[in-house]
Amino acid sequence: MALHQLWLVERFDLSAWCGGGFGMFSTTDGWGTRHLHAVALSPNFRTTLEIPPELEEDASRALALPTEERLRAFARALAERAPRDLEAPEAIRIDVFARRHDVETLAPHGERLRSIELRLDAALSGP
Amino acid sequence: MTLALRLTLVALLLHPIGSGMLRPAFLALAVAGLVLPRVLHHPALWLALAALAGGRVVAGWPLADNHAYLLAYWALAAGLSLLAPDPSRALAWNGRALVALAFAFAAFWKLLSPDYLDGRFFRVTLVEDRRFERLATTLGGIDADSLLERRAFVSQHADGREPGRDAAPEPARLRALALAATWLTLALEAAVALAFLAPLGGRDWLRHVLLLSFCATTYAVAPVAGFGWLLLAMGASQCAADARRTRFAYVGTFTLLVFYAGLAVRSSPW
Repeated sequence: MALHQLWLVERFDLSAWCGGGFGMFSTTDGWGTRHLHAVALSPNFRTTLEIPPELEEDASRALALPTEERLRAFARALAERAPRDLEAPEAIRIDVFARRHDVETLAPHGERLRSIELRLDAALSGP
Repeated sequence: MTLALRLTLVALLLHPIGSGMLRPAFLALAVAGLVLPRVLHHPALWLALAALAGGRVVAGWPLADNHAYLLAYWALAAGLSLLAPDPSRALAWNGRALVALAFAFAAFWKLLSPDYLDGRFFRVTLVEDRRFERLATTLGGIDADSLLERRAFVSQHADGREPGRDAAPEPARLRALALAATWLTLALEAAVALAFLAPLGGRDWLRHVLLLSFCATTYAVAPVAGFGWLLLAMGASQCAADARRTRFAYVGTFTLLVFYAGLAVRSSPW
């Protein structure tokens, strides 16, 4: 299990705090210090999506282990709730960031870990 | 062996875990084991606990804390050991292996992590994590206002490398405290791992001294008493039946962590 966690951290950006590898208290990169942005894209609009309360748990899991598959599933769930009042969105984009700190000043900056863009026609017809 | 099993169940009662139906199920099994001596030594109790703990890990994947995994391993080890011809010896072997591996992986991750080795982890954590507030202000010499200012600085939202707000200067004492915490934690974890991995011959007492020292010092600061209780139960499984002083030391340290946990709740800003 712990070796599997090592692989997930290396290959899929799992937070070292998670996954049962005993990496707690070894890095500032816990899932709670990560964040994501979800955006609905249409030809004329770019709308930032709020994460609804019922998807907060899914968002936490996506932050801890932002695999492409997990982010696509999360985008599909968001797509079903995306506002369609102005213009129907064509795609949902999700960017996951980790917080890094300057070695000397500790000033934080974001490092993009993973991005996906899901076409909505695929989202609505996909599994 | 009985002490190790009892401490595990007491830990489950002191810090109830799980959500939904899992929580009462954990509590009911813990109470049954503590109240009924025959149940305490029955493999079914421990295999049921292992199943619940494993289910908790799976349901929470990948968010479960490390001690959720350790509890599942330990309960499974207890259940299987109770089926072995010499349960005490089997449980002691498993307890030793689990402590060794948990500490070895913990030390390994710290060695692997650049932002741990250069001190950034504790420099950030001491100001950002409210549970370390008392340590930062008392030993780190940072006043409450500066602490709040630095907390806002290190935790500000950033998508890229855009310039953010300014910060109050980092006191030299706080930085020294972070470096001391960095290396002391790593040294102690590595020492425990080595002591539990290596054949020590007649120097088995060294394992107890290191593990008890780790728990008595680390959990005065780190707010994860549940993990400490589990480690102490595993350590207690190493005690020979006639090692009364060592057993007493484990019970005493377990109780000390109860007080640490109580103080942490009292001083919590929430």
